[in-house]
Amino acid sequence: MLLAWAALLTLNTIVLIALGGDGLEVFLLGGAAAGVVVLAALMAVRRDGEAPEASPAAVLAALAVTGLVLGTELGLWLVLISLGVLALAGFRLLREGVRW
Amino acid sequence: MSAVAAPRGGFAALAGSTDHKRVAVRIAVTAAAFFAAGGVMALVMRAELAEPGLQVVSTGTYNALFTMHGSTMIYLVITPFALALGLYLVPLHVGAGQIAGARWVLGGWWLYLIGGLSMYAGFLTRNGAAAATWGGFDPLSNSVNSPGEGMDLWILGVALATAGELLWAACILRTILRHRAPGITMLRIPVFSWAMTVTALMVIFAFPVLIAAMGLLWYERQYGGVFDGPEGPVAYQHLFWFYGHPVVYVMFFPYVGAVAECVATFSGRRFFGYTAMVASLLLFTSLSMSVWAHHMFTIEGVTVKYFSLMSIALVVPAGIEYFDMIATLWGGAIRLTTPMLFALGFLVQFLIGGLTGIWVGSTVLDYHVNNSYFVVAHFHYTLFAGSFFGAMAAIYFWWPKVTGTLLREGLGRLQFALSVVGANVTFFPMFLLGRDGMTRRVADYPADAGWSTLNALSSIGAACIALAMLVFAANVVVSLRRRVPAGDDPWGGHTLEWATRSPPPRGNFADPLPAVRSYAPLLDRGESS
Repeated sequence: MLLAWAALLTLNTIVLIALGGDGLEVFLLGGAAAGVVVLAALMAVRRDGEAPEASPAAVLAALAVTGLVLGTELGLWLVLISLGVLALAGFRLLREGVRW
Repeated sequence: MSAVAAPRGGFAALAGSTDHKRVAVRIAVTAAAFFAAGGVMALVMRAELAEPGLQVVSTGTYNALFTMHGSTMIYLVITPFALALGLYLVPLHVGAGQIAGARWVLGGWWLYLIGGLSMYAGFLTRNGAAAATWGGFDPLSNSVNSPGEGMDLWILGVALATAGELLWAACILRTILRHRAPGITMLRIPVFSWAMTVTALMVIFAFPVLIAAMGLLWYERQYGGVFDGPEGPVAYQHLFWFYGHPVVYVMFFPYVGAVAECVATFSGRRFFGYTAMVASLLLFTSLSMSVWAHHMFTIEGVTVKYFSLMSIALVVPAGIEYFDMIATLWGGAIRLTTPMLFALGFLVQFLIGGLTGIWVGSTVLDYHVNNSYFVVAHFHYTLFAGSFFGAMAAIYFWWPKVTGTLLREGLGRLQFALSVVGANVTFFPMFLLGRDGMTRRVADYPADAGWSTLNALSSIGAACIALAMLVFAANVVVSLRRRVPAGDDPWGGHTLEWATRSPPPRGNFADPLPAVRSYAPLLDRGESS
């Protein structure tokens, strides 16, 4: 299915080039077509682990990421706190037995 | 709401539950809260436009209102709600006990929630919230034209919310491709899950480009040098619309899937032309990834021939989908329940949005209506008169499964009638206003332009929509306070979610799955017995 979709995007990219598409247009559409092939490979290879009933570590990790992003606007203090929270989240994820 | 069993372990476990159903319900509730905020902003704008002159807000506030209204509805309401439907239903449809990447799904909700709140936090800053349109177009959004923290918070908030949505889509796609129960092939998953498959594909390839664009825009505002020169704003538009057009279909396909399930169930028939529908969805999505620059027809240097060709080609898969829906209805034992009414409303009203899409997809006609209220009418017919009706069909259809209770039919029918009247009275006059030259994104218009009556009519329609939403809120309250047990399958559904309890237990299926020989396994079971 993914490869069929990649083929359709590739066909559209070829038509775009034939009708005189410029660099960025071709890069975006062609890049998506190539990306589908990479996605297909990833979907075929990786395996999933079992998730626990609740994962406070995942919440901590998400909060840390938002803190890092918003820290660019709100100040270094938030970035530093978020880095600490991210480290804690990583530790707790390991304890939850997450498979990377 | 006791939609799903609470996990053990108190608040931390509750906030960190990895049950896909619980997270999906949480996303839907969050989207509903943002919808209320976006709706209030729309009502304020319509109050301002009801007559010429400035009566309610200043032009600056109006700019922030239409920016935040559009941003809310697209980044925080219609897209997340569509994905929430997938997060709840896809594992049930494919017979999985859990969603793939449950932690990512959970983390995604936090990114979405905090991203949305960050966008709104702009209202608390000195210069106010972002006011550079829902696209944040450079140079309007640069630090000279949009100074202050409000615009920065908007950029970061959009990036965070979009990242959350990206995580959800990846998990939905992974579940469909890798977690199907034995015997459920790709050509045995329901139409809704196929719609979620193609939706997830578009999210995975379009949304990262928006996150990159937001990163570049933030850098541009801090340090400059990214979108400088005459090519810069055009490059930004390419990046933005590479996300901005596919997201229209991300806000469409899940509701098409929901409507397809409603149409089949309430016609008492197998969905007609399943294979053609699947092929058309794949074709539709590949085309919809290839038409982004039709939003840029009036800009120098765009490959207009290509984007016009691809835009018009969209009518082919769209026609197949409409044909399949009508053929399913044809000869069916139709039950006009509330979800079916909303599904039929979706089909009729989206058609108006779709047909006017041919108009704006044509370069010559688009030059005339570019940046006018015609465009506002067109996309509100697709997103409100279309997707909103699809969302309401989905809510009324799956509410019994999610909550175990029924919504009231009488209130539902009243809401439907008010919604139909409200949507058409609000948005149809905008076609005429746009044809007559009224530009979009204006807080005022000349008193002698002849637009007063149509604008007043449109504002009355908006009030009617608000009334419809109040009726829906009343229906929800009544349904949850005076519970009428729905049973496991109140509609005679065709797909696997109706084979489990309402609401489904953790792990989704307490009993063995029924045999799956097609995309309508419960219909097969009924026919064989």
